[in-house]
Amino acid sequence: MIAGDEDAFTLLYRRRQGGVYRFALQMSGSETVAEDVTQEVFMVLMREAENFDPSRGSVAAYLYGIARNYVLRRLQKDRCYVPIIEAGEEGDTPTAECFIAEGDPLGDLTRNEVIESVRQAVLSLPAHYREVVVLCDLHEMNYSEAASVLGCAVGTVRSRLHRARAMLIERLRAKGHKDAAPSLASPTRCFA
Amino acid sequence: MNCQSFEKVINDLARDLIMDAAQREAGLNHAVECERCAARLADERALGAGLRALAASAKLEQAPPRVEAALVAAFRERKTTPAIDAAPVRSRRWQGWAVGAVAAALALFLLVAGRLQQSASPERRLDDQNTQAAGVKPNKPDDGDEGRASIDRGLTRRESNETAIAGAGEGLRTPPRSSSIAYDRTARRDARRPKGAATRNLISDGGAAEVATDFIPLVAGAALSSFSGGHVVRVELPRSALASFGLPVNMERADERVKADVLVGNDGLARAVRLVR
Repeated sequence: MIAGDEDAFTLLYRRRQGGVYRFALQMSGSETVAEDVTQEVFMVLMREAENFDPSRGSVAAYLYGIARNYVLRRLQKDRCYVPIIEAGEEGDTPTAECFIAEGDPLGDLTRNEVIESVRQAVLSLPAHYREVVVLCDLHEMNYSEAASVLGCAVGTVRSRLHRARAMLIERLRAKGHKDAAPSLASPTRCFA
Repeated sequence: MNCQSFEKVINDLARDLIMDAAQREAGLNHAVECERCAARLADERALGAGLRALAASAKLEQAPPRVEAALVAAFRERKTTPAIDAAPVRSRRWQGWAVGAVAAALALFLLVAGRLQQSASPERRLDDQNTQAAGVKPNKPDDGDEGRASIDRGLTRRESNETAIAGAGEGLRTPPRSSSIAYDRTARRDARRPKGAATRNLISDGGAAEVATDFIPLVAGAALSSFSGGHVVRVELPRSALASFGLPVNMERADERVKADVLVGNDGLARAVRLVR
């Protein structure tokens, strides 16, 4: 690609654009932002491909890092915020078992509602917590890869993810899990 | 394992990540014994299931085709159109001269160092035909100033440089635009100057008199014969760089700077360099 091979660039783009686009979409909640960020990321790659250092991380981490910077810049500029949908939705109480249901219209509806609830909860997190959830839980990156993208230590990723997931649980519970499943505990934690 | 320790491993347990077997077992055993931690683990696993479902639902999402089309178009345009800097034209020209001057200085080091190594004698006399060749200005050697005295003994010339330098001098028809240094030829100064060497008295922009050597060619043969005009760029080199010429350097003054003029052709190629004092 650096040598000007268009086919190589196209191949690289098609292989990596999905992850970059989904990352930007899950971070911003906006298809417009995700589209802009995706285009900017590959424009940067086109201009500054020589700056990629394989010893510092993978191509994916490099692209995600660029995407992260653009998304954060865009979020700060647009001050995007997607609030959690207020309680009052009808339907069964979401439990872990409901995600397993297949071929059941009511189950599918519940599943979609839960997915949307989780999506909104992720978008409501502060950016530095949201990005670790998106990278580690939605894009299944390990701690090391996520640390490479974020430019921080692995321990930082772990601690942020721990806190982010706890926040998600609290927000999802506060959103209106009125009929608590037996698996859902009280919000208090034990630190014996 | 206590509840505080359990909190440190709960994410890895809930996400079923690879972890230390002993820690995993200890964590699971604690969840069996502690109702609150068991509930925490269940919450984390439920959240994990929800996040996996969210990821699966978005798995097919892609950037629209127009993004690829725009990028491919931009890629093609970059291939056919030279990169355009954002810097202003004047700044780009200055940057070009500066790069050329630095390249000329580096080329000078390599060229002269290589030729000195090939030379049988570092102090060859210059005859009248070689007055156009590299010469050295006379300097009164100071006590301990081996560098200056070495310059007095001169940079050696090569016969192949004669025509090259002559061609350079003939080709430079227009006054240099980047330097207003004027010069006039002078006769040999004193007996200490190597026979045949020539120096020039320069009058710098500020009116101060300067003395310089003749130009030392950086390229030879066909490259120099194609010289069709250029400019002289004043640069500064560290005195320690004279070591590249094979000349001893006074280490006490190694950090001092030496002025030099680089002759850069209109094609941006550095043709020759001279030392100035």
